[in-house]
Amino acid sequence: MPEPFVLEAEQELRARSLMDRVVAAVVKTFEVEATGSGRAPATYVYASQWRACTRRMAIDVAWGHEAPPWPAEALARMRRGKEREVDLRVRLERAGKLSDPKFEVVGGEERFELKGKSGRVVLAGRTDCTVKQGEDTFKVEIKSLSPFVAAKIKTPEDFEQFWWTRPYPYQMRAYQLGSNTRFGLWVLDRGGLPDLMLSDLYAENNLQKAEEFLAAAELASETGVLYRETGDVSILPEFATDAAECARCPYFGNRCQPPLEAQGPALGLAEELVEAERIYWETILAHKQHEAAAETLKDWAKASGSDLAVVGDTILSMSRYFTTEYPVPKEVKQQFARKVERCRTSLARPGMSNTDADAQ
Amino acid sequence: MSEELFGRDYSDADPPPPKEWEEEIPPPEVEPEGAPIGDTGLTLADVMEETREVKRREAALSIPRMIELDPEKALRQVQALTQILPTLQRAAIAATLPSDWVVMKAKGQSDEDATAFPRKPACLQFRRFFGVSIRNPRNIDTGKPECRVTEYEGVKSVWSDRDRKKVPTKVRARRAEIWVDAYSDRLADGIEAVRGVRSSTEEFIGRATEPQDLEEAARTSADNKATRILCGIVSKPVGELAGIMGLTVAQFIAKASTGSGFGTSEQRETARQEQGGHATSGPVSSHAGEFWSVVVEAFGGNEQSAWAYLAEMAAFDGDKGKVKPKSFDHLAGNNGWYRRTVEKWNTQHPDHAFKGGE
Repeated sequence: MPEPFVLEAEQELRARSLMDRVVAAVVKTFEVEATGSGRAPATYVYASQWRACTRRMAIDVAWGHEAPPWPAEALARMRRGKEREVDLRVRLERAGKLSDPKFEVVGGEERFELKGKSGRVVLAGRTDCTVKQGEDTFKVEIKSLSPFVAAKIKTPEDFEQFWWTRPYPYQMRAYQLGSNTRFGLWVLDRGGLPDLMLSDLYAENNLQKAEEFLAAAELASETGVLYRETGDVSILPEFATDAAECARCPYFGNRCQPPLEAQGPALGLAEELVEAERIYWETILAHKQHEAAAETLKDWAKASGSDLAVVGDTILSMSRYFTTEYPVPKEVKQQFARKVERCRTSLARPGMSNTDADAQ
Repeated sequence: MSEELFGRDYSDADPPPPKEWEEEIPPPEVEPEGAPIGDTGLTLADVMEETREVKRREAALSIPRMIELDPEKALRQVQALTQILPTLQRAAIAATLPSDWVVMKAKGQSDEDATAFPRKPACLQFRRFFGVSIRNPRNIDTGKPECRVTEYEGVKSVWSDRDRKKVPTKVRARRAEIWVDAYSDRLADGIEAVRGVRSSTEEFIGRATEPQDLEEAARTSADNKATRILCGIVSKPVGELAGIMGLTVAQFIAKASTGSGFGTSEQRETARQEQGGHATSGPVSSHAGEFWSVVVEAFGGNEQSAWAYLAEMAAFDGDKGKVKPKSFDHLAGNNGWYRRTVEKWNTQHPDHAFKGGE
């Protein structure tokens, strides 16, 4: 008969081991679905793959099919997005019947293609569905976003805030251009009720951007196919000029070897700047002492209740005055809220004292 | 006119003897030249070469040539540079984290005497502060922006089940090389054709077999090498770095990536994961055997069950998945790991607590 300790320990061991096996098996259920990017070698650019760097789009065309398999975490997220997409499409269909006037959701995923000047398909994609009301047609794109991200997306321009959402407007423009429809509709799945947002191809410079995407896709698909066949990197489009693009590019350093430009800090060598820097650090302690002393004196004077006070050689006089306040409710204030760029400058001496008496 | 620039006296018209700096470099005493330093992609031979290059460049900042062309301008530039350079170096170092450095020391050296080598994140900071642009990355043969990839017969340490250790084995290896130029707009100085090279025989973290990873590593190596040489920061004493970052040497080393002189790679790996610091390379606890007896006794003498349980208890989540001791000796071979396992055991099983070593 084993001791109770041994039994308990073995139970714990079995439970831990079972948990490990369950976790590993769940990961495996996603991993078995992963087969690289799961695509055949491409001859065109996918509408969802707009990138600020045309060279990257070209390499995507050439070697995107050889991308390593997605990790289980990414596969799980994509699967969830796909399932939510089906749910929301069904929800839209039901909403169409309840709406006044009614609208209908026609078709499921619908492929579109855009041809370049050469007559070849250079840009292709798949719209999630189409909403039709009378003669009006909207191409619909369903996106699953984190609630925190979705909260910051109120207009199509807001997609610019995050590098991973930047391709979304280009994808929609491509849909609109490809299907020759003026309006598109984003359904943003954000956890609770979905957010809906309209995209107008004629608004701002959307049409121009759509055409720029088409031109870039044509260049990328032509050079990409040629690069895959010949292996000659010199035929690829120009490198991106934004180092941030390179920093997050999977081809950086392997299939793409861009130069990296950097600009160092501005160097203040002028005599008056050097003098100002010297004075700043020499007087920093005196400045702090001065501020503290002023505060002590003023606080005491205010607390004395008198309009006039004397300390040593100094006379402190208090004058009462009125200012106008505007106690505006928060919700009214928020209506006038706007982001204004400000600049904060801080001074520091690395490896040296910045605040205390050593600064002297 | 000041005759002392960069700590050297240039009043003498003759330039310093060209080989003077070579004598200043201490002989290697850390580890064999071929061994890599942490994940910096550097070997000691590289460090020696880069240090020589930095000194060669310091000496050859063509002071005599600049003075010949425009003495006043040369003086102003050099004075300004002399003043700014240490500030830039300090600022660049202050912007790094201890974990951006690999610390190494020779046998018998104290922690205070250890030396730190910058890793990739540190080099990125240097590039920012010195305005280092990497230009014209290329295959030196074709001039095209791509790596030169060659296959060759290499030697790699491969685990041998028969010998129960890694043994040098001939393998078909792949080498990726790339050359870059670099220019610092703050130093108004550049360097050409710096070679970055990585081979599939080296130890890699992650997907080592992918050719793209090798090429990417070669590019990183070239970029970082050029940056280190241009900025003159190939290595730094730990004390100096800790001072700039406002840390003590012990705090710095606890957070830094540790290399040679700080235990075996296995000990360092487990200690980093477990303690968030480095392992002490002291003797293994002499009480480990007694602890093992206590555990086995708790399992009624069943060694198999005892070990299965203890191994599970000692395991922790590491970067590359769950880290489990391979044997009790493996566990006891790391002081930190062993100590924590004993603590865990004693907390969870006070009735079978191990009192040894008190």
